[in-house]
Amino acid sequence: MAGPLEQFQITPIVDGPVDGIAFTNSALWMTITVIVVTIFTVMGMSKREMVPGRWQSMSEAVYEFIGSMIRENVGDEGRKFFPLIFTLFVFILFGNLLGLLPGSFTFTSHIIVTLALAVFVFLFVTLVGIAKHGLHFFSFFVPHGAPTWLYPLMIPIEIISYLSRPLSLAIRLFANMMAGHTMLKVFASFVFGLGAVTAGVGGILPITMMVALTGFEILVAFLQAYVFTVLTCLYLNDALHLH
Amino acid sequence: MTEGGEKPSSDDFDARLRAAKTAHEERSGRRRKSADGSEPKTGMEGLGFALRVGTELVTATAVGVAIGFGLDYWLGTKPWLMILFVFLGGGAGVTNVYRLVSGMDSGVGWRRAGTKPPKGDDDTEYKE
Repeated sequence: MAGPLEQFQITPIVDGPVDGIAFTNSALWMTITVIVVTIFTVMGMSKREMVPGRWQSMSEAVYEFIGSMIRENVGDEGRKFFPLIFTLFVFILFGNLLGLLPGSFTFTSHIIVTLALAVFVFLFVTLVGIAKHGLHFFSFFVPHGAPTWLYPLMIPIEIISYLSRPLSLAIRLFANMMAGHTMLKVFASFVFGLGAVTAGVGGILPITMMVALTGFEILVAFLQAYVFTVLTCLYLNDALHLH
Repeated sequence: MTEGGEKPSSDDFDARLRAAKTAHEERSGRRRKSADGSEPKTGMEGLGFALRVGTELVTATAVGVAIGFGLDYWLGTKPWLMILFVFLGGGAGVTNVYRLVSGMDSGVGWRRAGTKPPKGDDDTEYKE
């Protein structure tokens, strides 16, 4: 039986032209995610009914959810960043959810993927801040109300705190997804282990646990996508409105 | 979307969306419950929050170490800058945790998370 960590194995599906570059299962599921998201939104909005059906309500709900998230956390100026925030949210959300399908691959459980997303967000937000405020942006690192003699201590701390953002953003998403999927697999192996010893009776308990865990994983999938995007909004707010 | 006001159940839907969102924020630890401290957190949510606190501490320290190590490598001052930046990173970690626990989210400056930016128009519908 496969070990609990084998589900995270990256396997090349189509070899690329150069050694080390290949179309892997991770890339395959990213592609599937993009296709599913596109179908979800484009097909959902294709009818444009006054009274939305189930499908249309779902895509409208996601749209309005992101819309109000930006309005509350960034304000009016955040509207032009709607496409970015929306894309981030649905990409992570659908990646998490599709990863729960049996036999699929969760690309958000790899730190290289989440770190790439987080570093992109970090660089983008920083560039937005510098573009809007110029060099004044760096006054962000000077804490208000601190006595001047503490500045040599406070400013490096603020800078490190700022630089740790992408890392904590990435680790939060990756750790949650990886821990959840490992836990599911471990409990699944209990089903076989206990069931084999007790003629199937002992397998009931871990199966019950797995049902509960699967529900919990769906919650985590939503929650982590939400946390990632809401933090992106907060960072964007920081960059736009220095305080 | 279509004209928002014409949908028969749009008010109801908005209310439910808002309720769900509040629940979301409470779960993610952004909006802390009332000050009496008796939060009805289940074990899993508490664990999630604790994990976040741990992550903040560790990442800030790790970034501090990385900066110190990089500077040492560059300037050839082998252990000293790394030692200095371990402490600075630890300080940044504690700062992040303080912000997180007191309701300001990680590294969003000294303003409370979720407080509105200066000009917020609450009830206007979001449109392009």
